[in-house]
Amino acid sequence: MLKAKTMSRLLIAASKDKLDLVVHELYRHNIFHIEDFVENEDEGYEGFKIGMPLSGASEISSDLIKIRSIGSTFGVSKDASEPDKKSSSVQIAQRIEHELPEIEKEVLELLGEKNAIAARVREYEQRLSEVSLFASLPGDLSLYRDYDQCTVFSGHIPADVDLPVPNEKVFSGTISGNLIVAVVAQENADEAERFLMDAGFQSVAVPREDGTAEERVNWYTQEITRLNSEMGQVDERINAQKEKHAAFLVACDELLTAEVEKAEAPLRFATTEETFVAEGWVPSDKMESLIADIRSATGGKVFVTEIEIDFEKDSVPVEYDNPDLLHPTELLLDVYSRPKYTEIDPTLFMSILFPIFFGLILGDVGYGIILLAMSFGLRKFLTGDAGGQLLNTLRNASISSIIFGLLYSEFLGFALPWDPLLFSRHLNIGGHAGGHGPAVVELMVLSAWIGIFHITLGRILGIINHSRQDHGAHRQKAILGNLGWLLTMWGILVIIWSMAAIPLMPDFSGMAPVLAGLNMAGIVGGVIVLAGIVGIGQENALELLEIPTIVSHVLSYARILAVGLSSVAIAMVINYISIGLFIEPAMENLDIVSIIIIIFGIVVFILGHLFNTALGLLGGGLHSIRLHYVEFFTKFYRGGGKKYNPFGMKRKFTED
Amino acid sequence: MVAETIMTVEVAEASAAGMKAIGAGLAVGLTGIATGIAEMAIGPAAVGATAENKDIFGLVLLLTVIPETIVIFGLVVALLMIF
Amino acid sequence: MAEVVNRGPGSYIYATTRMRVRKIKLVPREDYLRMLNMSLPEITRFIEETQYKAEIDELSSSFSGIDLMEVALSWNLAKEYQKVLDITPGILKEFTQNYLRRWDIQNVLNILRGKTQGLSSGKIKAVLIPAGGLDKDLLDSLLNEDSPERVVDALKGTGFSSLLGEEFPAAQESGSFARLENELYKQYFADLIVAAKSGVKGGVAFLEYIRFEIDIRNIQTLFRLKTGRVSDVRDMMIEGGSFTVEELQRLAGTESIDDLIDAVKSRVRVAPLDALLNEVRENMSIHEIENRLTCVMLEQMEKLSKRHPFSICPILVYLKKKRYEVENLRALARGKESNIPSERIQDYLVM
Repeated sequence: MLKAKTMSRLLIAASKDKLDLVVHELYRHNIFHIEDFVENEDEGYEGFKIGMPLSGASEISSDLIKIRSIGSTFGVSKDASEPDKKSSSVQIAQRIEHELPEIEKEVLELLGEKNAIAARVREYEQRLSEVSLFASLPGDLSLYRDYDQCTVFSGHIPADVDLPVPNEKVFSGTISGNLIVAVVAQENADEAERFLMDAGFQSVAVPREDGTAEERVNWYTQEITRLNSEMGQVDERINAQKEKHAAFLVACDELLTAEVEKAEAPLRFATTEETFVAEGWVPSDKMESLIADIRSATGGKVFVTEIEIDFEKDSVPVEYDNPDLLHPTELLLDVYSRPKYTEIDPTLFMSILFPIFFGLILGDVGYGIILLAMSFGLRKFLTGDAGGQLLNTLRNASISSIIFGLLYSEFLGFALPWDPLLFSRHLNIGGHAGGHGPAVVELMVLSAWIGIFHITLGRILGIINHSRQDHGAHRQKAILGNLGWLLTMWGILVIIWSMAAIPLMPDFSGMAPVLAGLNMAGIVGGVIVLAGIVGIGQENALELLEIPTIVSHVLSYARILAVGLSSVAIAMVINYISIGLFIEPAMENLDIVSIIIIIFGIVVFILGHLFNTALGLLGGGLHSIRLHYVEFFTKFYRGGGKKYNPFGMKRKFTED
Repeated sequence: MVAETIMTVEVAEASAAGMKAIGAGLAVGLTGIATGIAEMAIGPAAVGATAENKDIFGLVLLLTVIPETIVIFGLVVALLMIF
Repeated sequence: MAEVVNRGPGSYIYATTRMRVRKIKLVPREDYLRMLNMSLPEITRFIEETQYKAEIDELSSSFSGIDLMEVALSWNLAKEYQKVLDITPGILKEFTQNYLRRWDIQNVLNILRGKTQGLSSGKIKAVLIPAGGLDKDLLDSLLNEDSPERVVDALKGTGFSSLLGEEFPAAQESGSFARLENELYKQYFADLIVAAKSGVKGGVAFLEYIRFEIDIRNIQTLFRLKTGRVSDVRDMMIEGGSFTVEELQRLAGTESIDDLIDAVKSRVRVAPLDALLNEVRENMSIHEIENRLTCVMLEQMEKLSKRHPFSICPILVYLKKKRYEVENLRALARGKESNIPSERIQDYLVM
């Protein structure tokens, strides 16, 4: 908690003939985060080059390309499939050798058939569209071509024309662009062409087909239907093949991907003619066993050592070190940025505060139950680690909003049978809610208090971070700077308290004025503010310009009240419209019309609350996250840590 | 100028309440417009970035609502005016 | 109404953001260095794991080895470019379309060359990249023409026709298409400048971009000609850059490379170019100079795209970078196919 998992930097060096043994051992453990070697002539690495892949990488790659191609033809993918059982990798390797060529052949044949049919469909559709243009043409299409003595003009024309030369002509105005077909004697062809061009004629050749256009249209239409049904059969056969081979294909993909990752590991190592050097990171608690295993695998002919971490230069990969309970919130942190290795991991604070903020904003038993049901119902669709984290976060948030709903006494905008235990958010909409109306001022002050404490916590964390990460004069300045921000905020508060009485806040306004209208508390507050400003200014004078953000950041927490109240208002309006305006009046006098009105009212009720659930989820979720990211994190959090990504694979479909 | 108005206490109270309501409406409405303007540029960038890389959807959604602070201030002012 | 929405600032921001994200997804330098140590099938598999997945998966049932790579690369490039056109709005789309016409020039020239040499249409088709305005179908129909003359005829009304009509007979007679190619590119750049200067919003950024490209192109040609001692370079220079053609001619006439470098330095004030030109004095192969100039051009264009964040620039930078990525991968694949040592292949990569 509060700190990333401790990492150690390992350096492994050995002669190249031990390369595959070491790689295999590292892959098996799945804990070694390789520090990729880049040819930059770094100190100590002069003359080293990126290594060459192990033998076999080329062949495995060829196989993989084939397998993935077949997989994509079938539409099977590793991520979408769930394994029935794990297959043994030895078996799979044998099957790759024996069965893969066979499967490939089948797939190629099927694809060939499919493509041939598709090509013919395309061709026929093309012809069909050409022929159907001439559907109104009488007689056989072969009559309109290949004359020595005559020329045939056919095509589109804006309007019917009379040619100035002797001709046979057909005109049809029923198709778009109109159709004109004219036959003129050879010697008049030039003149006719000129005339037609002037009239806006666009030539379209009569298709070289036999039979009347109408016959051809029918024939092509039939053929296309037949081909499409053939295509359906081929698709069915492809599907059958898919059913048969899907499990095998994903297992192959996984096995070979693992093989190829191992074979290409040397591309991330530094090598010379005879030796190789691999650097990387291992969780400190697992380091000893990894070193021991590498030693025993290579018969001791390997040099493994832990090297000291240089925090200035190295970016240490970060793996969270939190109890399972906090795991879901890590997602929210990853979305922003993973913490740096040296900084405080704020997962704990966010795990506690995010659901509370969410509950304060949504605070409705009904919506809480809907969201809780959603967080369980969606588990089927949102698989994977991140999906689970998201749903668990949602679960925690909805439980919190149920609790706050009980406190606020709210259920889908209705009041529960008790008075609000916290502050009331009941609005006076439709004359239903009695009582005192919403306690806006109290809620507003509560929000401000939350903001004040949240920001204070952020600043304190900032002081801790700076005292850990920085050195020398810079460290002192940064710490004093953060302290300055804190003092300024609290000083301003004291001044406000000395001037006005605010509910739920200390009230110093009763004291007698001492100097220039300020009382004792006001003067103390002023001194604190001044001290704070000095603290801010000594770190960076430009930041003095940012002082107004103290006020705006605290006020920003007013969204807890504002977003919450608007959600309540929408819920009450929905209830008023559906029940107050439709259902209740209709209930008084039951007949067919009023039943329809009641049904309509129920539909409004359901749709409205669905809509408000979505809004509540977005509003509650986004604004709670935002308060963390913008108002909280900016006080102490940098992020930008590198994700710990060990060399190895969690296997889903295969096992040794 | 011509019409004479008689101000009773009730009328004055009602008109004060009306003015309050108009003020509250303006506070929410104008800040809403301001938020819209601010989000006008973020929205397309957010959609564009998400279209290319789905992983950043969460972050981008969040960036899009950052200017909502403006309208929330408006809403708070309106609430304090009315209640 | 749709047109109005299309022209708002939103769609610019949308399109340019997408391009920026796309640019990040291009193959980084470290990956090229790793690929240099891989075999051809490994490289194919490696890029299958990136943006080329769809093409490799689809094509590997009908092609293999180097052919698979080549076809997949050109398909991907064409697809990418079409996609870019689909998402660019309003006037940016016109600019992009104009800009992509260089692929039309390249395709038409390849068809003409192939037809003149009597290559089969299948062979010619392998080098075509349908990324410009002439789409796949049109190119196919051009390939089906029997003779280069008929190809020229079929191109009537595409914007190339007048130039092709003038220059093609001479080119065919001499057997060298260099002049025709030059003329086509001159016209292409002239058209681009006209489009950029037509007074539309965003034209300034576009013009700046084109000018710089013309400069780099001319400088590249000058360096190339320096070794060949050609006396009259006027025909080969493209107008519209920072130098007039006459100035370029004078530059070509200068005695030493040093003078040329000084002259260029005094006019094109771009920091990375300065650095490069200083290095050039110390004997660099022509090939290396060209490669480095390309890098400088990309770098400078990147800067332009930061200066004009919601303009044509980010889009064109992406198009250019994508093109070099495809060329790099092709060079890698071909080099591996013919067993060229990695160090030599590396010289041909623009990273």
